[in-house]
Amino acid sequence: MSIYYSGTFKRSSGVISAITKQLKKVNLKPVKRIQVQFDPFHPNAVTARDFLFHITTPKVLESNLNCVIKPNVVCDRSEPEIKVDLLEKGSVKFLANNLTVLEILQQFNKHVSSLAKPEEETPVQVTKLEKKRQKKR
Amino acid sequence: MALAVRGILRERFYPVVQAKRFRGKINIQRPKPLHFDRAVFTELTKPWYLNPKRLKTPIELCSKPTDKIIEDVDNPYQKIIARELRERFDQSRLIAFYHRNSMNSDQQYKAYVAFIKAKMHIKTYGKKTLEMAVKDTKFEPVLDFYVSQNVMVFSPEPDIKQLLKVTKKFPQMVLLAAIFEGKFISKDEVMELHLIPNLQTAQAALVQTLNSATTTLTQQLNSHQNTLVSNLQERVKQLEEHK
Repeated sequence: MSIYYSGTFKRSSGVISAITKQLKKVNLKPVKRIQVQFDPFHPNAVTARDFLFHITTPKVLESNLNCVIKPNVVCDRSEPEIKVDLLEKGSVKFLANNLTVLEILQQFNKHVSSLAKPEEETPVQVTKLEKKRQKKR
Repeated sequence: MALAVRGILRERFYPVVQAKRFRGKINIQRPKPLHFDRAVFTELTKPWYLNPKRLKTPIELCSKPTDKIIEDVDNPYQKIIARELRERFDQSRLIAFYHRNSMNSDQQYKAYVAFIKAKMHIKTYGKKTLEMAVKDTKFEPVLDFYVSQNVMVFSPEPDIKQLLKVTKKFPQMVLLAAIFEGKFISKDEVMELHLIPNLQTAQAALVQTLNSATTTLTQQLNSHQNTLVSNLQERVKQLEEHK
């Protein structure tokens, strides 16, 4: 008698797969605009820049084409921050100085993406022709 | 004795051939249990060694041996690229550093073409190559903000207006800083420099400010005559209209 296979079939590639997992959940529908402010010479500007890069990927942008993502480069050695303006009243501000990209994305999903209303599935009407074609296949 | 040797040579020796196996697979997995004596002999004559780890301390056993870690092998091609980059740094009068958001290859190519048309070169280098090129030079601060995705634009002429014009078309490229005539400038300073007009206009403005005192003086002296002349001209027009 053999034991059933236990464990994962796929191996995760570390932090990046966690980030990718969060990015897939990101929904920009409740967002009006995102302003990413950082000073390139600040030692902790990496997180803001990485976040900016991840959020401007086509797949994430697809979720809301009306959302404006504005990078703001400042030169006064201020700490990096990310300001998210919502469609409804209110805004969320992330102080990216001591956070990692993964943490920011997790919190973003928790507070912002959760506000997005789930899409209603419209019942797909299948015509007779379509049914015939499906049967042939 | 010699005769005996010759005798041996005359005899032929035919070895007896006894077939051990005929076809079939050989048996490895289920060996026959040995005769007791043979088994004892085999067991006693098996070699045994002292464990090389027995006298080692846990720290010796558990830490990685540093002399076995192979450092990055010397890469001559990378050195060549680094040298080329260094030359570019020295020869270009304007170097702009951008943060690059995700772009299509189409968009990237369009950006490349747009910059080439403005006689600038857009280049992406890895951090390691940049480190090789720029370490122990006056350009070392570049490494501080060379994190995440980066792109560099080298221009032989310090034409900020053109640079900003081309950059505007590609919102995925975010200007971070620049090196203008060998000096580091931040983004605010780039915008300031952008607003400064070219040399001729600046000279003209200077001349104007220098002459401002004299011009105001002449203006004030001639003010009465000018008003008289303008009034007379108006009167002339009125009279012509009446006619």
